[in-house]
Amino acid sequence: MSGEGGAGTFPYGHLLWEMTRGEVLLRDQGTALGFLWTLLHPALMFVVLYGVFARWVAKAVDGYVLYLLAGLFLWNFFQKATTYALGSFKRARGTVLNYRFPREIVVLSAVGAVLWSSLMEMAVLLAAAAFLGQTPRASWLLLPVILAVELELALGVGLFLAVGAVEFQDVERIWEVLCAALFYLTPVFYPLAALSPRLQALLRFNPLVLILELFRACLTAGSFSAERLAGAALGGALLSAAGVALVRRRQFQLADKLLV
Amino acid sequence: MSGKIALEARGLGKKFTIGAREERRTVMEAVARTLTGSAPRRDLWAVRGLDLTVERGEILGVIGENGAGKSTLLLLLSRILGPSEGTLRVFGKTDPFFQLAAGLRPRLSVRDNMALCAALLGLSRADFQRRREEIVAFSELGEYLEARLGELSTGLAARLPFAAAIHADLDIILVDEMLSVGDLKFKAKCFKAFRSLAAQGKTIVVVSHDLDSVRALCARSLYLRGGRAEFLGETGEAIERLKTAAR
Repeated sequence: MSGEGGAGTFPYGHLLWEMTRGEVLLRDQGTALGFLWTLLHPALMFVVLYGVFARWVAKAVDGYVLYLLAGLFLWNFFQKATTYALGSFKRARGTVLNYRFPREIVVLSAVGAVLWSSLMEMAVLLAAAAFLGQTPRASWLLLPVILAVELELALGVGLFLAVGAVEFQDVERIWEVLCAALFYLTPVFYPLAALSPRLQALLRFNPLVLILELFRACLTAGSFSAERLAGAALGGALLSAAGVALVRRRQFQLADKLLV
Repeated sequence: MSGKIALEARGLGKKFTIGAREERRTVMEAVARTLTGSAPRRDLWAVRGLDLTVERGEILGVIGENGAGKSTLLLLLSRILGPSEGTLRVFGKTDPFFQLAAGLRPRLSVRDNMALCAALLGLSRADFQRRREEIVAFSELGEYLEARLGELSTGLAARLPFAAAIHADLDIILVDEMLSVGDLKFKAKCFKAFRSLAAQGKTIVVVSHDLDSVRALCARSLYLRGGRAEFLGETGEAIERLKTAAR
């Protein structure tokens, strides 16, 4: 096939904005509590995890409340973004089958909508950090950068999941199970140092471990490793690029599967 | 744009692979199929062996019974689906084939959907701001802007993507069953807009069961039957052949 126009001039930025805005409106419009509802889930998780584990873990971690809040914030973003991305093509079936535009925008807008609420959650987290005695410091300026790295990771995973979910009905169930396992394989509510060296080495294959460490270091210790941050950013960018390439290569198969 | 031709298809075909027995599309089924080697699937050709040339400024009708391949053809021409065989050359911007308000968001307001629809049709923010009043005026939805799209009747909701598409600088406009939902006044307005766009060199392909509208609008029509071109030529004869086959 061949043709002119479109690809070089299509205002993707405007389309991405409108689709993300629509997703945000739909997510928040559906509930009376709006944004407060999105805070309820992590708040409840915090209460339960703190209530159960504080007695054992708090001795090994300084400032366990903030440690746990930061872990939950980053975990929830990854879990919500990937899960919402997973169903994005199926939710946007009518849009995909009636308009021609780069398909990755569907997944990007889904992840973008989750990012929007997460940015507000981060503001709440920083307010909590200040309340808990942390002095705002320059390293806090890197927190959005680290969130952006996690966004890359979630987008990359989300793109693969979204393609898989169009192909197979049970990908959603499989991802639910994997997410449940991944939660316990990520040091959200426990310190990595509490595990055996062998297990620690194994868990380092989980990219969320690095993101959590970088974020917590910037939040509470005021330190960060530029090399590790750059490495994580590069890895996330490569994964996202691979996801976009997959979606573009399979754009017609996606339409076929959505149609029949 | 390249010369007079807007669309050119040669031996165009599209098949879908569908299940030959009841089964779920799951990872487990796929693994089982790989292990057992069984593939209970078959090919269904929706369009096959189609040769078609449409010139700039032409309004082409596409008619046929349900399942004839009309909508699949529009999806191919819009390059939303990829062909399974043959070639398709499209000269110009032909993003959508708008099937009423499908693809928009019924739970959002008409105003929000208008902005979304314009963006999906490739209008930049600046272009949309400039043309918003024209789009609202054409759609006659001014008093419904804050209503949810899903609260509108089918006919009113269909006006939104139509009005946006008319103002979206498309070179080739693909219309699926649009003509059958509007009231007489809006339909007359659409016909006028189609003719005006054709006079400007835009190409329009209209799929419809509303044969009177096709006859009024299109000098030439494609009659599809079972995915193949049964007839391509003067609209009156295409309609007669369709009616004869239906008897």
